Amino acid sequence: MSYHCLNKISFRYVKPAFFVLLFLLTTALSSVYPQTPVYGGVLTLANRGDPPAGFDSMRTSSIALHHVGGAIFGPGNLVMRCRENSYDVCPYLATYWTANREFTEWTFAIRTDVYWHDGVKFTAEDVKFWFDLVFFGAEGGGNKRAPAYFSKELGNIEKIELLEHNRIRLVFKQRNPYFPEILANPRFKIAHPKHLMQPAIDEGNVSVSPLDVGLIGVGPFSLSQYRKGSLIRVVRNDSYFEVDDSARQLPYLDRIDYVIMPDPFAMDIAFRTGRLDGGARGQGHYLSAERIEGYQRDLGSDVYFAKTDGGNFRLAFNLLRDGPWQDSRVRRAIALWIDKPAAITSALGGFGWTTPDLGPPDLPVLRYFINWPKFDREPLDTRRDKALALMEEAGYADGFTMDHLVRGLNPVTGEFLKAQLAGLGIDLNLRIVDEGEWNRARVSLDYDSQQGRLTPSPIPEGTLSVYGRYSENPDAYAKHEDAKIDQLYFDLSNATSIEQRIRLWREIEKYLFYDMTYIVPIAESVYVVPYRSYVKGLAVPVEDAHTHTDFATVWLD
Amino acid sequence: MGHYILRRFFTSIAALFIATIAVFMVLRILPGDAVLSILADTPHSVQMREALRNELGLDKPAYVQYLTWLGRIFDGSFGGRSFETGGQIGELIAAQLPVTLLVSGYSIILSCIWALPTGFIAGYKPGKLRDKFLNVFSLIGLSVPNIFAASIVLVGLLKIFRWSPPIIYSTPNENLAEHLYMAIWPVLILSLEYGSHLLRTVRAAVGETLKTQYIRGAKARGINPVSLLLRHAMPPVASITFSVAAAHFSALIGGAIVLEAVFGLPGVGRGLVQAAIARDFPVIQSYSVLLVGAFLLIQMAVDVLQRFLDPRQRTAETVFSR
Amino acid sequence: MKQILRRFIRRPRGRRPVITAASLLAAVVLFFSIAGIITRYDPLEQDIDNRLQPPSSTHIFGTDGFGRDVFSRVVYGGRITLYIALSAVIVACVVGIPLGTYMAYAGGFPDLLIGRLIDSLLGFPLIVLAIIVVVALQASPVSVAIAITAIFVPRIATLTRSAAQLTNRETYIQAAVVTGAKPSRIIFRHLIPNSAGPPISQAVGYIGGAITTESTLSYLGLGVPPPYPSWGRMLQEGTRLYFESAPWLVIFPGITLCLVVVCFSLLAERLKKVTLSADRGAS
Repeated sequence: MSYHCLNKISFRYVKPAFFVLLFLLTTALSSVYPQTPVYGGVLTLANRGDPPAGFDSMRTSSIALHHVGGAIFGPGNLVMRCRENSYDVCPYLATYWTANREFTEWTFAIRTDVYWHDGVKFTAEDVKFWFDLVFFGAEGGGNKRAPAYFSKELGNIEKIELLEHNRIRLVFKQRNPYFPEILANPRFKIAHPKHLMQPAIDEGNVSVSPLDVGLIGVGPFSLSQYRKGSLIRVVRNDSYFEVDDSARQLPYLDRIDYVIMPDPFAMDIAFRTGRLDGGARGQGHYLSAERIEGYQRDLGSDVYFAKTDGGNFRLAFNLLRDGPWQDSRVRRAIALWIDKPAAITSALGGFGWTTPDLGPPDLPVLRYFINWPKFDREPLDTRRDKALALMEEAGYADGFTMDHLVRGLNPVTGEFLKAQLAGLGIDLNLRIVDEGEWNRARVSLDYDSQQGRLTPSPIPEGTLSVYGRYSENPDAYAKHEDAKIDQLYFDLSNATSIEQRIRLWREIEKYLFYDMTYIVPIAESVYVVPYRSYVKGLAVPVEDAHTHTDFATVWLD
Repeated sequence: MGHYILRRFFTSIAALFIATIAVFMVLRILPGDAVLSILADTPHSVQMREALRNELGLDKPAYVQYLTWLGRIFDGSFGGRSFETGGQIGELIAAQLPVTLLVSGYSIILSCIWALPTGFIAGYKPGKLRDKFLNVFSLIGLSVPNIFAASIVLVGLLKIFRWSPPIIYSTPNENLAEHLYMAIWPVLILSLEYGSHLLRTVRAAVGETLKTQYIRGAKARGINPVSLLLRHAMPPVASITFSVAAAHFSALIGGAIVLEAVFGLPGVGRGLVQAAIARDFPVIQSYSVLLVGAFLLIQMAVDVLQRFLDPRQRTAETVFSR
Repeated sequence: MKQILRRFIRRPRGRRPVITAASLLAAVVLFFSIAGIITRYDPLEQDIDNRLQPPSSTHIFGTDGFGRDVFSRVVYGGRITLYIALSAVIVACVVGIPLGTYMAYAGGFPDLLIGRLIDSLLGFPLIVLAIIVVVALQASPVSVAIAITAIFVPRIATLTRSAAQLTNRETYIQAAVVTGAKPSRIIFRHLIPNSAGPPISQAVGYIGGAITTESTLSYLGLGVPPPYPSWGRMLQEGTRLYFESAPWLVIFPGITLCLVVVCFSLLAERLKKVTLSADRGAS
């Protein structure tokens, strides 16, 4: 049976959505698409840093890699997020796919007109090689290569079969009904050519990286020059398979220069003096309201700003550690007290969404999951009075001390929380740590509260790993052992219709964010990237700025 | 002399080894896990972490890791691969070192050009307005932090000229004009600091030489002390210049670090900072070897040169004044 | 030591600049110590409705992105920075001066060994060593202080060593040896007091360097962690986010930083002149 049509139904990322952005997107797109693309030109973009881990997408999800990776390796793998609507799944290297009744077997048919940048043909064997690396890692010369970090997310694999007529079949041990959805994550890029990597692995060099083999991919641009710390230059791939709606071959651009600029200040100056055509992506480089003022002052209408829904700023509690926050009234009080719009101006750079003042209007129920809870919408004063009453009732009118894990890269959100909670008499002890310690600490039980990491799960079923019980999900935001959550997710997995799924998901939301307030969602950030007005055809995703970094549809006017 | 050189050479090598062991131990003994830093952003299982640890060789005993790294120093890759980028460390250094050397070199040359003559003039007539002005100027010059100066320069260029330096680095061979347009700004800032040091040391040395009996005698006899001064102050001033150069070579590299990031120069400083933050052990170790080795080499060369020039045998260590 | 102090105070021509520098410095240190009294606002108190206000009668230096009073933050930031710099340099002296004296006194193999070790430490750019230490120990005021101490111990030891070598040749030292005085007595009673002059005057200048190093570390995000204020971090935030919309966030911390470092350099300069001439006087 073909479930191709089912796959066309959009499933949202489980984060706040906003229709206004979609409106902006369509207006932006409609204003550029009627124009005729022009071939040629060089696009100069800033990049946040050198791509880590040798450009190995199985080892890192860093935007420094994926901003460049999109151009070299393409916007997806077998599937991709559609450019017209980033909530839909479109074919990329696969032409179509089917699943069996139980959703334990997925079969993909691979395109026959794809070539690696060195001229070798791309076949289903490459796909099998890639999936083998992802799920099982590799062995050679006595050394072992670890599987990809996202292998578990894709599902519980049993085996991968190479079929005739350039097809491949993945067999899972359990039902995996949303596999293409999950697979369409722009971070899962095929950067591992079998004909170059297999020999290296056989020799024992199991950690061979895409950089080692010359960054050979199948994307719209191929590597021309890489000067570390300075520049990554990619040029048009003349045998690229994608074509636009008028059957013109993509990409339009001749070349993209990614200039490595780790300092956002230097990027601002460079952009405003005309040395850059587009800004870098990444926390710290995304523009704030004040920086945009400067851009507009210097460039006026010669610049536009691409806005994409970003990460969620939240406060999550560790209920497995003794403390006043084990009392749900205390958690409720904290949720009521926080001045959420203030977070947007002071900690999120001035762009974002939150309740009660801003928020997405109601969306047609059939199309999107809305996980922006419309709770706590009374005016701030009312909420704060309630909060104080709750604290008093719980016996903590004098406040208490609570520590808070903060990632060193961006301590601003921690500073905001500390000052907010001081109003309730809570002394929030900020524990600022570097990347390594953060990685260890957020899955441990050592801290009273934290903010959790970004998870771009496209479907609510995939959020169990961040909302579920600690013993099964160490990377959960809130540390708890509440069996009811398990039950709710179980029901969700057995839902048979979209309406049912939405309804069940709303129940989970209410339980998590309101009844128990395990997590306080504060605000959703919006990522802003500047582009010069002559940069046309840009596919701006509604959510997740890792998406559509291939720039295949971009032309300069 | 040859004896001395040989002795210095061997003790320097010994010091280098000790330094590498010290760095190695500091990185391994103190808290923190490199694998966690590498996997920071991604959700991963314990098996994944252990597999990566095994892949990078971090589960082997310390002495094995040290010897492996040491072996890799000599096999061409200068320490193996970076944990963070996966690239060969030798290639990294080959790309980054020339940039830093060029910028440091320009700074030293520029500083000598402006600071040596001014220091002479200041020291020749101490107490005059000229001297006082230069005194204050050099004091400010070496007090202004690089970070502040860099921001001022960039904002100034933006506001006044609506211009910014090039953002893509070119070697002098590729495009000399672009290279200089890019490098001139950090060089200016660095030479302000470095030149201020130089100015003050030269001034002091000239002042001291002025007070010697020989010069006083010449003055008393009516001989123009300037030519005499030049002849007699030259050797100590020259040796001082070299000593200051040696002493502040490492400060120059360090000072260049923040400037490299802001002005977009892909040099050693930035590479080392990134490695330190990412706990990229092989890179930190290899770069340490490079920097310490270079410093010891320069110090040795300067000391030998001084012994040659100034038989009063003042060593670099005594001239550690700022 | 007493001789040096006497010369310090008595020296007629050099007196004025020394007093100017010293009193300026004292004023600076005092200013930062009484931070609590002179500031009206809590440096951590946020007032988001009043964020990014330019300097006014209510906020002399304006407010930052969170509505915090910049003047308080500059003063409190200075306090933390000064504490770290002072303690780091003092500890460096306490460790470095005896070490250098011992090296000069013992000579031979210990001198060579420790000397080469110190040489290798000197080879590290200040900031790199500081970064390595801070990263390993997780950023905190203590780890920053340790890093800065580690930077200056070898420098002070080297200076002391050369000064002590000169003192070592004095007749009274040889007299002490001949009369059978214990080595520790020789070192602590004679060598250290008479060799301490140059390194201490240099150390005062190092305080300025310590302040700059701490600020650079904070600028790189490796210094004193937020929300506590630090000039370096204020400079970084101000430059990156607000250099145009709120330049007072960059100007005030930056100028204060420069002024304080200049003060220390000036004082060190004067001290050096005095001790150098005092030394020459003694011999």
